[in-house]
Amino acid sequence: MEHRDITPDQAPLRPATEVMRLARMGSFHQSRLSFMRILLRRLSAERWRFTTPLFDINARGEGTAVYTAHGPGRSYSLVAFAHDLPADQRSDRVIATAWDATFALFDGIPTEADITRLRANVPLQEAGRVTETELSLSRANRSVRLWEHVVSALARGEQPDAAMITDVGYLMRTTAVYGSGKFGAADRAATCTRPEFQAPFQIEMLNVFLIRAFVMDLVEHLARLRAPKAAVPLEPALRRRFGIGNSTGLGMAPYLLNHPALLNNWIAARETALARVRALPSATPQEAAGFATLVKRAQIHADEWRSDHPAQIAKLADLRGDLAALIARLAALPLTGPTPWNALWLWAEGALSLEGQEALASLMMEPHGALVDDLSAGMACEEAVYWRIDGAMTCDELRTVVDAIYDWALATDWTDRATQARVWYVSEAKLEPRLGPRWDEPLAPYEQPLCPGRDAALMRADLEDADGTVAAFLMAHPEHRHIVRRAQIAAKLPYAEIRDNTIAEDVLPIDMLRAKLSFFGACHFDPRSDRWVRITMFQHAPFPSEIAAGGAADDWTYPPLGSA
Amino acid sequence: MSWSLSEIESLSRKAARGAGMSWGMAEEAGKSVTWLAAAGLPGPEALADLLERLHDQDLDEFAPVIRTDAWRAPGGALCPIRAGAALSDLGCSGETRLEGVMQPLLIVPFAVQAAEGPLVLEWPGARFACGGALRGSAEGLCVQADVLIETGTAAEQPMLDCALRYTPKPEAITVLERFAQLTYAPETEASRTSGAGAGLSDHD
Repeated sequence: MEHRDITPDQAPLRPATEVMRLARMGSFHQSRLSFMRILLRRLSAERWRFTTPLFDINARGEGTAVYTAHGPGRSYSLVAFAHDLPADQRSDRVIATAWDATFALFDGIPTEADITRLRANVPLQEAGRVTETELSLSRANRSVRLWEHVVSALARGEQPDAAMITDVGYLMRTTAVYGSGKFGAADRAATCTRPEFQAPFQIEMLNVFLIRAFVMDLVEHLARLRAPKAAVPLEPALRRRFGIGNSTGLGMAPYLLNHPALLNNWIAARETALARVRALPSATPQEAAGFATLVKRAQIHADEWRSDHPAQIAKLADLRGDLAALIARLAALPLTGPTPWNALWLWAEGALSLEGQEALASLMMEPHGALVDDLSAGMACEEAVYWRIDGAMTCDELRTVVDAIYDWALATDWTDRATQARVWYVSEAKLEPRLGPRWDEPLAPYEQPLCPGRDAALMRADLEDADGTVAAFLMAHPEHRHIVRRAQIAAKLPYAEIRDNTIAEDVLPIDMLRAKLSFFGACHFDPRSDRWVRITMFQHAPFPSEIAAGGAADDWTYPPLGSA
Repeated sequence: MSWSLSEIESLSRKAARGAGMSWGMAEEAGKSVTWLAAAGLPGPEALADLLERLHDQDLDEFAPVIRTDAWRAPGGALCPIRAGAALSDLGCSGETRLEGVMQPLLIVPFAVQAAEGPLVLEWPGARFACGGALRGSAEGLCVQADVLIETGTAAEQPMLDCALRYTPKPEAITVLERFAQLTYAPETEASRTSGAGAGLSDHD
């Protein structure tokens, strides 16, 4: 049956009260609906071509390269500037001022003059300026551990150590990938009607995908320059094991709170996908066997996931135990009965940790691309549609909305200092979001509106005796305008609001980072503290040449069996 | 130098907050300015002037009090963001008179949102139509004026085009950045060492 011709059956969606908890969001995994998966499906389906019109880099690793991706309607070019960075300047922090490589994604094919202009600005990153012909701005640093090992091995004519590649996962990690109008770049509004950029973050994902290709070419190039006669390229299977790293700090966490309607669409797509799979009436023996193989591949993926962070170590133990339990369950009770996926899911809800449940949600989508991939079209959001406040709503109706969405916040004792222990603020030094201690530092006057629960409770108190319309209430209480808008958005879009306290003493910003990064398609989430993380992107993904050659299946995230 | 609209919105929102507006109202200011800039109208410049007049003031003095004959502020000068937000919340289908609106250009985007049918907004030197075809023009910035909203169209006015870039006057940016700066917490040693990425080697 062609699934797209009908509205697929689906099980009831999981309620927001279950999904939108930080502990669960902090256990999300990449899936078919992750943005890098969506991008590569399109590039493959449309047989994009890739060229390298410029690669001029010297033995010290300094120079310029241009990688151009040619789609059916347009071309896009990664303009890469490679630098020879002294070791003492290498920092992942956003306050760094120099990097091993800096990049812009150019809208089209750049001229010499464009490249000259970009050379004067892109290496400066935030201190430079780009224009509407640039779509994204980014930078990356080498993994010192792995870089020299790979260059010297290849220069000797040998392949690098596979175990070391697994340990690190990438040769360079990006530390910021800016898009959507930042530092003068084109706004999303300028490109969102192009089919290739309709889904969220496709520009940023294309940028990183091309960076990975550049980095792999660069490391082989430097090995050749070091030993022109002896050097060898990476073996293709080994080459695929390299992703691109990313180091992400607090700056990403507020995004989910600042884009409630968009967040809803991401979560709703994923939940709908899960609900569709759960509604399938049966599975064939081949499908059951294929799924068992997939879970074993997910085991390899989990085994290759490294972290030294105590919370993540515990979560990894949960995940590995859950995957073993899942394999045992599939062996004992193959997917043969009626609605086998729903039966499996209901078992998981009782038997697995949050890590395992969310891993299973992603795994269940994996063999069902024909059933779920179309949901990617609904993940973008015209947020302006939800912007205007409905002033005609009565205060009575607003009370009902607030009581339903923020019930947890209304049950919180906000006089307990621990419930408001943190303040989201922006620092003067680098204009970056931070999370500080409310009671120890004079930060409250600078508080950003990133604590909907507390704000809803304050608003609800003033709403208690109000009658008439929301319009009248807001004329008397302009201070509640922000949270009234949020409440009205969440009343329409169930997954718009996180149902947890984002300023509690024990809040873990890394939970918000993981939720967002999982939608990017990031893997091997490795918290370095409670507020910054490293991840790997595009590991095991096909390279541009493989996409262009055709037949690059969207089945690359979990390593193949036998690759451990 | 041309700015992206997201840069303009972000700076305008922060500046309005820095000058004393609530976050929700500052967000409205950001949207209004961005809408104007996208139409090639001097939203950032209007906001810069407005904030110079509003900061350090009791903003309730500039909030609308709705009478049967007109909207007025207790202090005589009406904030276009407060009045515009109320207009948007209430909707607007016909004759409304707003007295003493500061930088009245800033109220236009709200009227566009509020319009329940074809409306014309006027003040001396400016005329805009919304609720149907978007048309209009203004002769420069207007510090303060009475704004009259009536049903109707303004076929003689040029259509408003949507551009995706705007080149703000540097003086306006200087003012907006000064107010935006007030939303940033001064750096302390404690905040520096507890910031993202701190405290662990990133040389590996």
